[in-house]
Amino acid sequence: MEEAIEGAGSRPGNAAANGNSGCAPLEQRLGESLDVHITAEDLEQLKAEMQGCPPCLEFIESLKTTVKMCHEFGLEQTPAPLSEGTKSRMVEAYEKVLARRSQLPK
Amino acid sequence: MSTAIESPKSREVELAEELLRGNAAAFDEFVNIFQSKIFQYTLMMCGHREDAEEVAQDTLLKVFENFDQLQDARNVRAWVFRIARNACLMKRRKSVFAPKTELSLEDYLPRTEEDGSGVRMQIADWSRVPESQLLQKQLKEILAAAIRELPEIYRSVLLLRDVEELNTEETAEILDVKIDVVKTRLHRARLAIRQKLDRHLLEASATLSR
Repeated sequence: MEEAIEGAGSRPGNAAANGNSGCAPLEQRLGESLDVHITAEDLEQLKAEMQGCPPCLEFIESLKTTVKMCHEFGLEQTPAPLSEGTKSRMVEAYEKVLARRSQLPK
Repeated sequence: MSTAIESPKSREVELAEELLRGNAAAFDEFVNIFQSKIFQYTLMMCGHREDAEEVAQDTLLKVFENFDQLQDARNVRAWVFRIARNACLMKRRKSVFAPKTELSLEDYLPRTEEDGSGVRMQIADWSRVPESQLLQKQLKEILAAAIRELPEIYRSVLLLRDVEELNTEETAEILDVKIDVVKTRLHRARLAIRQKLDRHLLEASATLSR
């Protein structure tokens, strides 16, 4: 299964396909570049390394837009309100937890 | 004068702290927030509204039955999603709606074309996706469909990391996999989603130019 999706990652680094060379290492770093913990310096360095590879730049911009869309993703469908019976069971469960905890030695 | 804007995550933590302190006044808001979040996750995982609603309710019930097991309120979102994920797996095992097969990932391979100088990739013009259009209905639908079509192991990582914005460590713990596995699957899932959106943009562009 994991191998099957791997081809999706070969796009920007495929020198034969896009006519550029030397961008294969960037492919491995594309994932890193989207990590929320990446520093601004790292991102700038990555962008600088990509300057000679317009398809890489286009690709990473589209990937960043994809991640942004995922962050903003939300379904328009909402769940039906909980029935009174279901809610009562939850309240009861919570109260049992509180009661159980109050019986523990301090 | 600056006004501090409270993040949704910090509100969840506050509510969990209140509930751990025994303040039942936080109950309704906690339920409202998490019912919607869990429903979204379970609907994307189970693929059927009735299943998703049932799993969301089961999850919330388990959350309250085990609330004293929440060690640290700051981890409430990850803790709740771990319960949701397990409930979802149980449901998928039982459900008549559970898909029998996963979609082939061949669909995510990039398209290529010959142009005389070699094989070239077809890349859509993503600059035509301005900020204001990101959440437009059509794109949202394409995105939702693309997420649903991901095989489960990729979908769960993407939903937890990019949609619920849990961190890599939390996601690894919820899914019982190593951190490197989360990173690899997330990267591939993002690439697959990007590919779907790219195809949509290419098709939309071709339609416009006709």
